[in-house]
Amino acid sequence: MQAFIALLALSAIVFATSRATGDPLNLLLPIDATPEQYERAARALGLDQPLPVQYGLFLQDAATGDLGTSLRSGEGVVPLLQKRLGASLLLGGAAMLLTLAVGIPLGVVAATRRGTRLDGLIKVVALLGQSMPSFWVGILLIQVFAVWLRWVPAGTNRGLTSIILPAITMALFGIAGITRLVRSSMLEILDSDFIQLARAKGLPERLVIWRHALSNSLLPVASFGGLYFVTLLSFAIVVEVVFAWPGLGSLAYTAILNRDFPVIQGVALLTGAIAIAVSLLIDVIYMLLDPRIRHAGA
Amino acid sequence: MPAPDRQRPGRGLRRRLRGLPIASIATLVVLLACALAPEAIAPHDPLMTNLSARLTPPAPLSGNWTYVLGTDDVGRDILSRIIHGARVSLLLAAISLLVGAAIGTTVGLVAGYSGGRRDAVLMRITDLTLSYPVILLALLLAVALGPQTSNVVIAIAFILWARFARVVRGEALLIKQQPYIDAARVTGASSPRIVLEHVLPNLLNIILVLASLQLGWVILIEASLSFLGAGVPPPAPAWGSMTALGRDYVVTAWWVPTVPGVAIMLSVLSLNLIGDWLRDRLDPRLHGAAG
Repeated sequence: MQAFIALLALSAIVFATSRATGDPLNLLLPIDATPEQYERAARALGLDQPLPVQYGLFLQDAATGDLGTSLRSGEGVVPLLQKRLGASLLLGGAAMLLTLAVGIPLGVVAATRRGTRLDGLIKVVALLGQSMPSFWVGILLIQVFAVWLRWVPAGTNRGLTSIILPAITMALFGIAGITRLVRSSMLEILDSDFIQLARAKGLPERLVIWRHALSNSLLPVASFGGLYFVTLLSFAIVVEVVFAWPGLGSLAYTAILNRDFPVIQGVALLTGAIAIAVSLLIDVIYMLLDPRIRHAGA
Repeated sequence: MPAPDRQRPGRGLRRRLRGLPIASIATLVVLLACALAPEAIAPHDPLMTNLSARLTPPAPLSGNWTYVLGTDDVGRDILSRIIHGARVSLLLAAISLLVGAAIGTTVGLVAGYSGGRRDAVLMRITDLTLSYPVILLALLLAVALGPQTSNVVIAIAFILWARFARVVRGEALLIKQQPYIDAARVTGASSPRIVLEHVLPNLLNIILVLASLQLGWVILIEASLSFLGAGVPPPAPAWGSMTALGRDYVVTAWWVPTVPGVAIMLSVLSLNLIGDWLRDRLDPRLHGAAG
């Protein structure tokens, strides 16, 4: 229910901002168009109605799965979104996997080797990762690995290898954040009584750290994970533009440049819906990870 | 970066300044100098083109010390553009941070102190803002309101306030339960007065730490916006748009995109290090709270 209200609020905001981006007819029609031509085009596109009516129509259509057609290409927005969503999910999924697969172990290692050179090195890398703009990382990676070393193709969609550089670019920021989070929450957990007990019981250190300590320190990671995911969605736009990745981000970018209302609305609604869905998912993961909540619910 | 020396016991001022990120503060001072008086520092006019010297490599490679960091595609001096770009980046970041912090603090104080339904509604709006992709929202706003410097500020502040509102609200909720707040209420102080005189002053440390932690992030967002063409309109030098321009010269002139990126990275890194240090000094509880 709350998610539904959030979606409704989202649609209103999206509608308002996209209508504020200026009159699309000025872009669509030639400069010397007569007032009659202007009026006819406005009526054909429903732009002559008062704004609340336009919003009502927009909601009604959206509920039935019709988000209009692109003012530029005349293509339906829903098919357009479907076509682009796959590419974005693929890239986002790869980046998310990479973030977790690299970030969590790095954080654990940094915490267990606290104060060593390795810890220092990981800290520096994490700090750098959070300080580099992702568009620049992307350009640097293209420069080094595609232009100088020629290890991967520079263009897009030349097989599986073309996803490597954009995924790394997107993951870097998240890896830096997750590493720092896991490190600080592991340090707290490693000091606690139950870890002392596990050690006193004679459990092997490897099991103590990777099973008992890690599973408990993932709780704060899950709650901050939601925020990181949203940041990831954000930087996805930039990364997709840099690598000309045919996903939602580059679709949004060109739609905004062209003032293509229906497409902007579609992308904004879909991304917002994804963000809301993810925050719900995070709540569920949180419950699964925390035995206190898990058992209370059962 | 100086290694933090945690073992050595110090006294008084020296202990308080332990682990001070000197290199970061030096970088920040240089940046501030560039932002305040770019004309005095920059060797060239950042907008002056020189077609006969276009795409000159940095001095160590070309031997041409007129253009220390090389030139771009129309022969503008990159160093001078970076120096002038510092003003754009820092000014925009500082103003949007101020606006965002002011709005966010107000919302957080009202929500945390009044509680109840007002709190619930305000926090729902905050969460909605937080859960929306920053750059898409900023792009929408920046394009909606036109490519003007002031609109970049509005776009960034619009996103930033929610981060402040959430933290401030949580802290206000804690402070509200302190006995001295009850005492003030018993003596007949009005709610606005209690908030301004007793709650807000106790939150200043946290707001300061939060602001310093967000500053680097704001610079990254501003750079990303200008990279996407929704930032400060050209030909004004902005680090993001300079990098965007360099995209076309990745193969032939690598320094054009690389140099502005280094400027962004060094600034954000210094600000993050200073923010971390401030947090450790002023408020250890905020650990990990920077999203």
